[in-house]
Amino acid sequence: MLAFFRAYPLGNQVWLSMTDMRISSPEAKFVGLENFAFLLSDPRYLTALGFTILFTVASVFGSFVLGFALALLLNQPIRGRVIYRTAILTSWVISSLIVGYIWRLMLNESSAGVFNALLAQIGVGPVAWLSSPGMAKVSVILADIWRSTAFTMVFMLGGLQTLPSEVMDAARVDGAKRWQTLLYVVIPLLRPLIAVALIFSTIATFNVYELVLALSSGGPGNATSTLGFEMYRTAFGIGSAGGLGLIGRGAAMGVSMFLVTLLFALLYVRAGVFSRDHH
Amino acid sequence: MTTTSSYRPKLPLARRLRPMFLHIWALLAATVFVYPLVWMAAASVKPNWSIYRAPLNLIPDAPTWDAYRELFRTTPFLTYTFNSILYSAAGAIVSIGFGLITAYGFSRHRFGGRKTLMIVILTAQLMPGLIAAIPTYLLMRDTGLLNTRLGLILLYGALSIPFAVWVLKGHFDTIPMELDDSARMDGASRFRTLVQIHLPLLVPGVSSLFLILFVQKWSEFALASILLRDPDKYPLSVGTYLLLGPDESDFRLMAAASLVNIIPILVLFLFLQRFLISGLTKGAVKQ
Repeated sequence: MLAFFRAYPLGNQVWLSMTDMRISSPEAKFVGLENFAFLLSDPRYLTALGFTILFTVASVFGSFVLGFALALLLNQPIRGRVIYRTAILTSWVISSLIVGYIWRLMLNESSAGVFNALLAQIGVGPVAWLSSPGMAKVSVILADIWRSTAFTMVFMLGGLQTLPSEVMDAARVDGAKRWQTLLYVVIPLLRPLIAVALIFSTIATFNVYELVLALSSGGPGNATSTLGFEMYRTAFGIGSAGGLGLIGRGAAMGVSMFLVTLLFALLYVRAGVFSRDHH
Repeated sequence: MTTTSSYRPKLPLARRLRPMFLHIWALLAATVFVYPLVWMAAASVKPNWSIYRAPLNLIPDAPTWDAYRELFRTTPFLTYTFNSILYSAAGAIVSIGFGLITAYGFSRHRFGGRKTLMIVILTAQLMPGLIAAIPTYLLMRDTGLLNTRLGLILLYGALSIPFAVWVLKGHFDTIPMELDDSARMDGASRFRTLVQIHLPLLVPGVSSLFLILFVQKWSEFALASILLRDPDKYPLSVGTYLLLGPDESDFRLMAAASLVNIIPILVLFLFLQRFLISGLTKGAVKQ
């Protein structure tokens, strides 16, 4: 079953990426690397590639810093910390699509949007959160950081709780300040886990497209279009997002995304996650 | 280290205020994540004038249920909800069924290439569904599973088998081999050992895995939107996008539709969050 749904599709994908298959006709002709050549000269694809990389780096960095900071905070003996943790984690069970809609409501540029309403209270704005290309990029990144921070937090919190308290006490006795303990004791000890968290969230973020679909539809223009969004639009599309039905070209995009993901997967292997054996 | 217990020095001000600062930070963080939901819930029942004139009001003065009435009376949201429950639950059960058998093999038998196979299985998990969407579409078309509920359930089930295997193997490994040995000495078959000795011990692990998978399937959008064509088969995620699209401007309807998507999952989460968290971290953090 795994081979049926995983291995076969991947092999098939590579073949498809070298054909001119369309969703409207089952006939396909071999066209070699034409699709890839097209992509490399397609400004839409290149813009999406550029934004996807910026988006991934910014969002992974932002959500890791925030998530780790929150994990450190909630690892302190604060009364009611389970309640705080639960509150933060609610964002984790919400799907990307719905996160997109929540943020589209909050960033609404009329007086109904919460961001502009808050800014109006201090006499600033209104800000064109989604209609200016530059701000739209920022908005999509912010929404994705909001979406992915909780995962990093719970993941790193799990790691912090496995740290032996003797190590922390020893550092304290040696007169280490809090930030020194963090920098020289905690972070090195958690290094493998940090690598896993980063790679998980990189792969998830790199492939984000539902968020973009709901929040900005890749716009204005194609300023916030990600590779996942482009591939979905090229091959299928839904409702008024109108697909092009170009299966062959979409498959070529999929292959390019697969290669990047594979790179991350290799990093994951290199990070030594597999060296542990339970026996 | 015990010197502090013998006398009580006056702590510096910063030290004494520390717990308060921690609370303020935690409260701030919790607000950032909960406020949007509360605000959206308020917006979903506000009359139009209030949405635009008092956008920050969290307690609406004249609540209206119009948006929800519209969703459940004039759109097939009820059908979408039932579909979502069916796909999420059935998909999770398929993953767990296959996962149990495979994890049992990995945990209880030694065979060549066992470790390599585990790595291959995890690598498969790292490929997001979207990347293989096109071949999956063609595969389903050629096997006649396109636009069928069964096809989507099988696919959802298959996609999570690797994750299920990893998590369940972790749980199997915590059951001591001595239990197997004594069961065998009492004359129990392998199958009986699995059903009568292992399964009861795996109940907490399997339940948390079920919840994680359920939440995952509930959120899935890409594959469902590609593989299903009849609106009466759509899950909530696809139905919601079909209704709202990229340019819906009815503020209240958008808020209400989003809430219908997240409330069931949020309720489930609040009741069972301890389960979920330990299940999530088990695979990676386990010592």
